[in-house]
Amino acid sequence: MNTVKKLIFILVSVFLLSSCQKEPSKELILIDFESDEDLDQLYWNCHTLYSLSNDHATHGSRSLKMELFPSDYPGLIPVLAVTDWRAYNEFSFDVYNPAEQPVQLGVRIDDRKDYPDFADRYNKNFAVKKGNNHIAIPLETLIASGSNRHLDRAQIYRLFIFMHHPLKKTTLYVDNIQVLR
Amino acid sequence: MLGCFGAGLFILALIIYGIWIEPYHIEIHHVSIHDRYLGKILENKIIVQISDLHIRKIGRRERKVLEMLNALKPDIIFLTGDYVAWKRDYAPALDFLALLRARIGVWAVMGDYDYSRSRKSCVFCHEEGSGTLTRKHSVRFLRDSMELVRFPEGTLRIEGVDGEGGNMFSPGKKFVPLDEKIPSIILSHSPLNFDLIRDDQTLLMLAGDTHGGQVLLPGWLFRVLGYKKNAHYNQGLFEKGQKKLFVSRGIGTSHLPLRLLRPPEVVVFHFSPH
Repeated sequence: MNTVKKLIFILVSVFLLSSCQKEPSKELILIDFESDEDLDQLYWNCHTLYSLSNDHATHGSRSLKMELFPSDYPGLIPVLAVTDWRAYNEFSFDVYNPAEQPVQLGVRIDDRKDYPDFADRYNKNFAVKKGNNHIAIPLETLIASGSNRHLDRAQIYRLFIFMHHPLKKTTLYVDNIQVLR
Repeated sequence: MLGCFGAGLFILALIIYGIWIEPYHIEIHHVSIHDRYLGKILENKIIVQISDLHIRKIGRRERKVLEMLNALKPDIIFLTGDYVAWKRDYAPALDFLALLRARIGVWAVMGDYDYSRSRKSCVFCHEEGSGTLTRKHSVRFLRDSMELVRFPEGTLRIEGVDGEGGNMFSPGKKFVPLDEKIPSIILSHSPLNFDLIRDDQTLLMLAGDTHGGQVLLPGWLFRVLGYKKNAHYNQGLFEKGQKKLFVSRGIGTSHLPLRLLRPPEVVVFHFSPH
């Protein structure tokens, strides 16, 4: 009887402990632009100026102000701390356009280190209208442009959010770049 | 016992020489380039290349380079990247660039070390935190771009291929289309970009990055160790078809602070049309 009591005690303890375990986080913030150190998590390129802003934050209190100058493809390339996206279903970010005119924003995702050609990477354009825009990309739709090849979500190497040949200086605010379950 | 002691003493002497003597023994390396087109424009001009400075502070080595440059009185200085030490302060390198003087101009490209702190890399061209061009120095950085320089003898095309700065579109392949009629010098930190140019193109590429290996080693060993650039283009002049490449051993050191039989060099080019 004593043994049965012990067994029940152990089983109840295990059940309680397992139920106490923290639920895995629903989202993973890749970059949130809250601190000055976040600016070091970007590849700085010519023709784009980055700074933190207290305006148009959608997560936390600050956002990234991007000033994009006329050139081929000015934009944002974050250093990806997490490159295995298999546990997630969606990639998303928020972008605020203060101008009246909508702008076209490109998103490029590479799953290969050696700078794959257009046909061998994910490419999609989004119309960003005045005000807040939430861009969401289901990860099951990460397919290379020139084939039906699904990107390898275990090794996402590069993410690029950019404009195509802007003719005049354009300012955008980006925040809350994340992947979600 | 005596043999072991002798070997130990020899190794100690090599280390002392490699760390404290050779890295500061800067040579002037004179290189003759026979080129019908470049020679016509650059004959009798003093063209200098310095590379891979890896500056931590303006110290003994940097002061010596500046003294040598002042004595040479160059018409043009070409810089082929890696001005800073990995993720270190950029200010000493900018101070050094501000002290460079050349009659016609100083042109430069960035190297991979110059992007080791990506955010800081902008200060080579801009005032920090702004899009305003820097006034700290007069070096013209070519980042996948080119300039035409006009001389009484003709026009020289100077192109710069950018280092590894997260260039997402065709990195290392962004050559501006060549005009065969205009003599060209291409600056590239990595000598491997030489392989991306057609053999029938008449041009001279100046590169660095390899440090000549810093230590005298056979090419096959560099290949085994995975240093492709050293295995193929360790130092000196290379020719393939119409194209030429010169790879400088550079000035500074990286990884290990020593040089053995690979002294730092300031390169002086002597162009001739014949």
